[in-house]
Amino acid sequence: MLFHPKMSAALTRIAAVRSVEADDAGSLVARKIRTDCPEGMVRVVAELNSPITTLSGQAAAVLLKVKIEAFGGRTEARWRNRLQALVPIEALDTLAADPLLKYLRLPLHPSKLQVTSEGVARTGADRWVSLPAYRSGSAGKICVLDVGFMGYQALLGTELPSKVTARSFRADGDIAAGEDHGLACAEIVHDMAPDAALWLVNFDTDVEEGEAVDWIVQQGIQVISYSLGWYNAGAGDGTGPICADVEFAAAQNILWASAAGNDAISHWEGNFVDPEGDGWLNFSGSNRYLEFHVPAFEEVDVSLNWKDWGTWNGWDYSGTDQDYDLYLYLKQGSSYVLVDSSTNIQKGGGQWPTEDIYGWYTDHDATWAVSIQRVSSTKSVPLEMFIEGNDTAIQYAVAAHSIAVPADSDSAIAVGATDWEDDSYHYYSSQGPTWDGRIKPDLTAPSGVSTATYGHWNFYGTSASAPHVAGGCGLYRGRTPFTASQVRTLLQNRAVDLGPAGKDNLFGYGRLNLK
Amino acid sequence: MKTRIMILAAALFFAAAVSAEAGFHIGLTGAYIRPLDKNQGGAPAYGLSVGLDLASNLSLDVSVLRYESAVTASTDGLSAGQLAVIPLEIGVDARFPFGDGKLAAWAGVAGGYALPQFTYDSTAASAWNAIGFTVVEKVRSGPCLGVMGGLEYALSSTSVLRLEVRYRLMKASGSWSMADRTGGLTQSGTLDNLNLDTLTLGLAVRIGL
Repeated sequence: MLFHPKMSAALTRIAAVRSVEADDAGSLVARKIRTDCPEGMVRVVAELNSPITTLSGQAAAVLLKVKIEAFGGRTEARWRNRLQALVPIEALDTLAADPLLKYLRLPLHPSKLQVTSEGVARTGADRWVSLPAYRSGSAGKICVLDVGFMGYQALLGTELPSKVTARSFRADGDIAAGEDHGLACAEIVHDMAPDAALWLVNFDTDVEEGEAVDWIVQQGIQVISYSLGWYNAGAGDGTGPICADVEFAAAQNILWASAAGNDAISHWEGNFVDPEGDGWLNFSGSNRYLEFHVPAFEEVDVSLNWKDWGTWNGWDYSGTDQDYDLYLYLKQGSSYVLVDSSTNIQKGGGQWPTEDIYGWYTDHDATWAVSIQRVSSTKSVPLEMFIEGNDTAIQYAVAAHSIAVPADSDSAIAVGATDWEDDSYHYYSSQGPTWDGRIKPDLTAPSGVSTATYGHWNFYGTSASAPHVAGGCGLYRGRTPFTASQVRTLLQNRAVDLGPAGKDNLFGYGRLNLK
Repeated sequence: MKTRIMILAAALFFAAAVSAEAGFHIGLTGAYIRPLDKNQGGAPAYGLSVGLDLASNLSLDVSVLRYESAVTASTDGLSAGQLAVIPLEIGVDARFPFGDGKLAAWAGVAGGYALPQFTYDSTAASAWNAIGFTVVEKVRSGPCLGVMGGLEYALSSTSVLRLEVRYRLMKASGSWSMADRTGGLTQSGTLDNLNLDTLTLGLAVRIGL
């Protein structure tokens, strides 16, 4: 085969085959190399010697258009020095020899740059791709329940299934909600369980979440991926309104993979110690301030609760009559400047034992501090505080009991974070036990993985881990006949045990393993 | 039940043999089986028979046949795989000669027991096995009943060629299980009312002894 110096090798091959074989042989070759070949013509790009914006370029383009039409072809588009046209295969040689042309080639096509979480291979989910479903009834149905799915439409057919069901339970009905967190989670779910049907559901409040879960149950969803956590929304013993949503879903045989939380370095707990009797809690010695560092423009949220929630009756707690208040300070030099306080009244009228301050930030990196004041108390109860916004461990951090609500629910599969590459524990991953003494998390799964939304090796947190488990659950539910409770048993039986032998408060049963 | 039927069939056959005036014959059958369940594919079948001439135009036969059909998965039925079936039957048929006696029509009924064996698709089984799951599917044996008829042509004084069409009724049940070898967890279920009915088009040679 002779190569024309002004024609690409692929076009030369098409032209050569056409010249020595049957009329449609060139078309067949064109199809083989995935080239458009409508009406026996081939789509080409003719590169001119000069841009069309110049006089000579424009003249060349016009002349070339006439010549192509004379061959029975037609031009389709032009830009700068490139002219896109459909040309009969038998005219390729003649056209390439034309002095108006610099080069004749096939059009370039973009590639869809797909990103797959490294957790897929780590957990063995990739080995399920070739597995036929066995008496599962239907492909998995997985719902990502999150705060927002900004830009999900752009990822349909690549990072997400070509079709998803999206539904917002926000008051404003905005599925995007200015957040792409849910989108990154959905990507991982799809990476893990590519043939599972996907629902994207968002909400903003506890009430909206309740409505969303009701609707999810009606959809016949089998698995919920939940990379969210709540503070001051439950006693940390598996009770409370958010945990009730999980229990309701679990009662309908829905598996709920819940991020354990990223609070191992942002959590404090202790009893009220006040040797001076001044009404302020001493975190250590005589120090009544707990400090933490927050980067510029990072929002500071502080949530305090104490373990006197009363009895949970299925929709509310009986409440507390122990009263503490929370104070937030900005450290300036060696002094603390009061910024905000939370002084809810707790007098036994059903009030929850919670105080929270949120929404503060500075335009520079800063050290903040909190203090806790006793208003009235008749007994000693453990106090617990979660801080958000800190970039390093808070002072006096206590990792134990840092599991976020609703991962503390017995019905949730609480998922901690381990490194996708070596299964090492990620320092921030929340630890158990729960406040009623149960070991949590239940499993760990890869974190620090790649997604199109967050980039290469850039999705950290138990938020990244939970969708891996949700995807794994989707594989089991979509391809095996095992029930939801059996799938939980399978997950724990097959987990790669990490840390101390058996279930422990860092790794649970171990890292998700599907092989 | 199965044993009783087999004993009864054997007793019937030998009682007839003892009291019969004429001799025995043996036969070889080649056939094409078309299962009536759309998820089971057609398949060639091979079999043999031993018969007893009860009268000049009445015979009693014990026959065995084997076929193996490819199964595609269905929701309530079997998974993808191979279903081998061996119907073991005893039947009575009557000949109705016409013309010069070389050609005859014949018809009969048969009953017995079908012995099915299902093998789950080997590729799928290997794939599941590779990640620690064992899949087993079984079909239990059960009674079968058939009606048949056709034409018979006498090749010689001791041999005949038979064209046979047979409709065989076979209902079976079975079970399935998927077991996780890592933790011993097993999920299982039953397969009820499996339809193993078949239509057979066969050619048999019978040789008198």
